[in-house]
Amino acid sequence: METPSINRRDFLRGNLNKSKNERILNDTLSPYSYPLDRKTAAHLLRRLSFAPTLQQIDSFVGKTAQEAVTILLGDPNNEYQPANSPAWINLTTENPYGADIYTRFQIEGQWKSYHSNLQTWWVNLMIAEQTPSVEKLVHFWSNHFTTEFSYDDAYIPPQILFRQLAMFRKNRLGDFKQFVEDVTLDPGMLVYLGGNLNTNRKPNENYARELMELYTTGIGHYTEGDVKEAARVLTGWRVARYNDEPARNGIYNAYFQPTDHDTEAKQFLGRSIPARDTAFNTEYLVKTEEIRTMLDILFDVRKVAIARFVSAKIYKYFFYSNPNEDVTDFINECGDLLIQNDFKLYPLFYAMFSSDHFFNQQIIGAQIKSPTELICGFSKALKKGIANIPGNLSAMEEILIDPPTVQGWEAHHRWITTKTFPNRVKFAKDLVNTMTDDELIAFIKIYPAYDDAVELVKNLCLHLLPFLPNQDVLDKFTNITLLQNQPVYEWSDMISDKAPAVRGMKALLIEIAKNPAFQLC
Amino acid sequence: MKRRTLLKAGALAGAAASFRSIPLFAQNPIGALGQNAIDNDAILIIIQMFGGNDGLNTIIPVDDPRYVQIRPNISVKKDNVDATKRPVRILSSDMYFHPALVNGVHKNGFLGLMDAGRLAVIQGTGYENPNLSHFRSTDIWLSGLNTSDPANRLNEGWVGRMFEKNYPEFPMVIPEHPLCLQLGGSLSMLLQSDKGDMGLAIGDVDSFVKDGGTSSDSPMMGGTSNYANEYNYIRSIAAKGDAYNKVIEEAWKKGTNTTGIDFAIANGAKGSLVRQMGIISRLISGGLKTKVYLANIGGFDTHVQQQDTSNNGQHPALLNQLANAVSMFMDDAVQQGFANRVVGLTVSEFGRRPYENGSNGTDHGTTSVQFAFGTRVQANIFGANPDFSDLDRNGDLAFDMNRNIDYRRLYSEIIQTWFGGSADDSKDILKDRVVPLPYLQSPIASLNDPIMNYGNGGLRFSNDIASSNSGYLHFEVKKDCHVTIRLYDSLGKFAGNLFDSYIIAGNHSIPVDMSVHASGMYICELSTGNFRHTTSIIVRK
Repeated sequence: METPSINRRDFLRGNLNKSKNERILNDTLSPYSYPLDRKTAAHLLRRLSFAPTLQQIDSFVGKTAQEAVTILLGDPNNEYQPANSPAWINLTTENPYGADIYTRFQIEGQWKSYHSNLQTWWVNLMIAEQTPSVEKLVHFWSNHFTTEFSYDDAYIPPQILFRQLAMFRKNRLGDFKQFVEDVTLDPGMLVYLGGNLNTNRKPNENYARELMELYTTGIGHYTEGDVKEAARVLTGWRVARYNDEPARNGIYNAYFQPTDHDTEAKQFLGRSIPARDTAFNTEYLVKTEEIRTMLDILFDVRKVAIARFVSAKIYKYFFYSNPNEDVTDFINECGDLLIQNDFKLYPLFYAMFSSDHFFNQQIIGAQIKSPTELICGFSKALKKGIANIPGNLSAMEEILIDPPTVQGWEAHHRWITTKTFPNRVKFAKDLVNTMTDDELIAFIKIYPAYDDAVELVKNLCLHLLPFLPNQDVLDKFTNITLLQNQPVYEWSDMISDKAPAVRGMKALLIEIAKNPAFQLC
Repeated sequence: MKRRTLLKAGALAGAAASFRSIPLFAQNPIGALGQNAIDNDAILIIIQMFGGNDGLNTIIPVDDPRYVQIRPNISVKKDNVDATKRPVRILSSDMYFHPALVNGVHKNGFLGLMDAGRLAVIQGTGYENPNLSHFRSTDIWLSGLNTSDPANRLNEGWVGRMFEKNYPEFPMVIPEHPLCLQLGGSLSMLLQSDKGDMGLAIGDVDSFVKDGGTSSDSPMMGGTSNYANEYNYIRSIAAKGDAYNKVIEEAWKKGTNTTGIDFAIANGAKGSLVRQMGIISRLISGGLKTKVYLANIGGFDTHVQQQDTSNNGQHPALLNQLANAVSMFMDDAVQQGFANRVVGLTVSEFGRRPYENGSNGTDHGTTSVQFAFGTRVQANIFGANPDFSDLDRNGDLAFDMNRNIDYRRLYSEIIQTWFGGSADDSKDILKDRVVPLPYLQSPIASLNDPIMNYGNGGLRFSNDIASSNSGYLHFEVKKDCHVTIRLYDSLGKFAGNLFDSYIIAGNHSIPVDMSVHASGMYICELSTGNFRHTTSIIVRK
């Protein structure tokens, strides 16, 4: 049976004397004050980035958690927008929904291929990324502020989704209130949740509800009346999607349509937003005096709910997606910190990832990898590119920027079903099988003492799995799978001969990928 | 922390068993259960319509002038120049099918099903203090627990709890055939229980079978860390997938769909729900002993462009697919001879607001209509018509206990009448005593049922020659037993006892005088022990 090794900290805390059953997750935001070792460095990299290369782990060993987290988070004021973009991001089209069916299908087909291309481009960014880790945070926010590429029987032009990712990148560690304001007027969001159809004559409540239920407070902190009033505040915003629509702020951007805005007074969460004279019914004034005021009210009246809700979302994505009541105090502590910092995200992320709680034995290895994490991690570790990124993501049920519902992916056990599990293993198998002999031999040689089969298996497992499997499994990996029942001293000859080593190594990598621990990080 | 205990027990079991572990028990979900449990070969199909189906544009009160007033742009017009686009009256009621449920559908769709006695329309279904969030309301529907406290986490489905009760050893001992099968998507909460998933999610049967055999023989992991728990969970899914791979492959190969009923399984050309229903039909015909199937159709969140005045739009297209899928499935089931064992039920998290919005759509609402289909349903329309004069402060149809139907009554009927559970079983599962809405007759294959089954139920009503409002109820018992016959109105409200006595084996005819009751449809429910049979009586005055 696997027993996670007891580290010095556990020893100092006296955890050795406690039965594991009784040990609860009561660590706080207090900083983890021990230098990182291989296991803790890998843990941090797996969670705050997309799995580490061996060199990355080595470069973090010996650093404090705070030093490592500082490097990983980078400069919160730097947007780190990628140097290269897909070629199609500024292309425009006519409105497919007014056009004949042939034109419509042609345009939608084009969008589908752009959306595939966007996923490929984005995942390749994740795979290539070293430090700072930007795209992991973008991935998180993209699943918080959800947008579906295909919604109802229409599509959101991927040009808009590309811009949305850039907006997430900009805000990823910034001021959460500003972030919510940007999301509220984000063209993708306006299209997705009906904001662009929201008029003074017929308000559309869709975004107003999700703003609170899914993006800030969580359910139960507002009335149906608040939803209606918020919808009224948000009336009048439009998006320039097609070349036949007015593009007052440029194509693929939002603009304000004064005649569609409800200028009457609104009552939101018990406070009022005054009526406005038509002379002041302008984009700038409505944005600053109404939307910002509404968000000010929301973030003031419901600050505790928001801070805890967002902290819990971060916790579930990065720490553990099925926490029990044990962690309530920790979440509340995170919420308090967010409020103290006036909803600035950087101090929260910094404190959370360098905390005792994050390095607790109950957190390490407990998270089920999202398909993105699985794909990026394995590709990065093997240094092997993936041929069909959108196809693989779809088979594992995570089509990026196209979640099944506005709630985003539920993660945790929903990732692993009798449908997706075989596809996860198949992905790993296929990737291993596309590696050439030379690529595999080169991969073997990155491990220290690679010519010792026992050491190689151990190091490989430490790299690819959260904990070392037990001795029985290691022995089986070494003797049966890698060495194919040859004596252990034959391994270096097998490497020289190439073919038997390649055969054994492929079998070993596939066997590791079939181990349940491979799905965890 | 039951989950923890379970996994701990699992670790021990794993240690005792050898490497490849999960012991398979030679037990099948149909037929091997204890007294108060499932004892028949009945099958339930649930069709989940995600997004909140617009009940008012599904079963339409077209004669109510307010309907057209509040929906000037999206109402279905009775005077449409194209006759195929007019609503279709349901029996002699004043409610109408949306034409998309009837026209251009296999064998006249829902109209054909109603005429053949295979469709029950259950109006005004919902719950008190309605929640307008898709997710919370879906959770309330799938859990079968009506709670207005948002802090109450809903993690398990009523189907999951039903089987959890019947399979105390699960998942260490798993049934030979999957208990529940979900077509597509991640496994629904409906099939989750305290003991983990009671079901299996598969996408495409071919690829499920082809890609099977992926579990490694990794050992169970000891300890109670989150890591160990998750590891063991993943391991059990992998093993389950492998074990079920075989039985599904077998059923798939053996099964068939009736020649001439083309579900377009290969390419999904008739829509995903039609395809799913075709797969389900083929698996049942191939002998799969799964008890509950879950099919899905999304897109009902019609905030925008729901439909125009000529019924073009997203909602009619969805209704069209729904009716086609159900009608084709029933035709296939009848022709292949398993129809008497199957009942289907639709669920959707809420209906939509009576007033249309400014985008030719509708926003989230409250009560809505659901359907039950099968040869064993009471083909009729249940529940009161929508009342536009009784709206709540959001402008949604108010839920009125006296007029509307608590959604859990659909489930208690399934638990009791369909699967043969007791009222106590139903109470355990729904955590509340919920009177079943009598829209079903029990499946014909209950071996221990003392009531003789005539092939169309064990209870029949015949009118007196002299009066249409009195007559006789006929039934035959195989052995002496206590029999109760209760009367319910179309809202499912108790309307009196017709009979309550110990009787001897043989034929019986009980006189019934309905003259004291108002016009309308009534359901007579005969019960003895856990067995129930129903029949309907129409009173006309």
